[in-house]
Amino acid sequence: MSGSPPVITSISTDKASYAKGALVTVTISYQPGSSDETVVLTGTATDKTTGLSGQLTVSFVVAGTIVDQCSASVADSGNRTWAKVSDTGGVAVFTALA
Amino acid sequence: MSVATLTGTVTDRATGLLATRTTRFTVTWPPPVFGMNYDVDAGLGGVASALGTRPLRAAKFFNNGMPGTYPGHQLPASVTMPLASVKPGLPMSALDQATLAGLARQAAQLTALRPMLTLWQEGENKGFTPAVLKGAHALAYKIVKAAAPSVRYGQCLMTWSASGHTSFGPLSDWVATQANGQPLDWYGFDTYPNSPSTGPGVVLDRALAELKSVVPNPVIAITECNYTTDLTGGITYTADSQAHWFRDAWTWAVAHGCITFICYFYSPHGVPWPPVPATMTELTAIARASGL
Repeated sequence: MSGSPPVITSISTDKASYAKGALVTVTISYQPGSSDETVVLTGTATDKTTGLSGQLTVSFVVAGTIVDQCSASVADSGNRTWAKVSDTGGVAVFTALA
Repeated sequence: MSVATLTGTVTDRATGLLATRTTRFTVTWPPPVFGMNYDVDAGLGGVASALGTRPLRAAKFFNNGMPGTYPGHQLPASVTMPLASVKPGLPMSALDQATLAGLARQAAQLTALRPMLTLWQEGENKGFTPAVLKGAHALAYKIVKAAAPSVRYGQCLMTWSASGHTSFGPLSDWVATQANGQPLDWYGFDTYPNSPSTGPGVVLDRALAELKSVVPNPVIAITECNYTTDLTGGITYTADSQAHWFRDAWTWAVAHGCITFICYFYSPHGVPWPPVPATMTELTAIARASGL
């Protein structure tokens, strides 16, 4: 399956500097990735006298029409434990102690 | 101050494609609180006089057994960050458990203080198995927190246990946690040279690496420190000056956010106070940098 990857448009903390032990809040804004949709087209011809019919199918791809579910996560160089507060599908918020 | 690099990742569940982006933030902390063992030769007041600083704010109190009151010895008014180590029999009897809870309640009533409590400091070489010692710490943490949540319970570990030269190492075998695996409130390093040429940075880096293999993000403290081991005929750091030992240890403590910097001087153990003048000058600078 092909498609386009998600894009993180921004990642930010609520402050630039924290006292040790203070709460850090991180917000990730992102655009979900997408998958291609495969459309199967079936043509049918029916004989009006006998009722017999013939079919032929063809498929084509519509790129990027399916918006995929995504999962967001964060990690940091201090190995803090991050808790996910919310994730709307476009904005995810995490917290940890500095 | 430390700078943390934060990496956000968004993964497409259908395709597995992902995006990452990084940012940074800084974490700051106050300097370690400078202190000394309570039984330092000159007394805590004498140390401050000799250094020419304000009275010490941290002190480590040793108890052989379970004292009747916290911290087990006279507490100078200047000491707002006492650390008391007690020695109950292990496994702890019901009486010792009740005494520990009482000590915690007493400590919490000293409202101007930030009391610290532990049992069996440097317990790695006291004849216990790691399981017995760690079990005692987990139980003690539960008792102390139930009695007095504001009292900070932790563990004093020997950096020597991470030297690779001991029969009781590695240090990581001895790192205690709460019963649920969460960290204790703090972990202290009793910091002495591993060899005549091993500086405090190497000594502490090794100890911290082993601690972090069990507790990834610990609150740490220097709970003893000297350039020579406190045993006659032990190891003395000779690769550089005594003053540099303390300077380098202090630099490490500041860089790593240690909450205390407690030095150890005690003539009967071969580390007499006062040290040589150059070391005194360095300790004065450290004490002042600590806020004294």
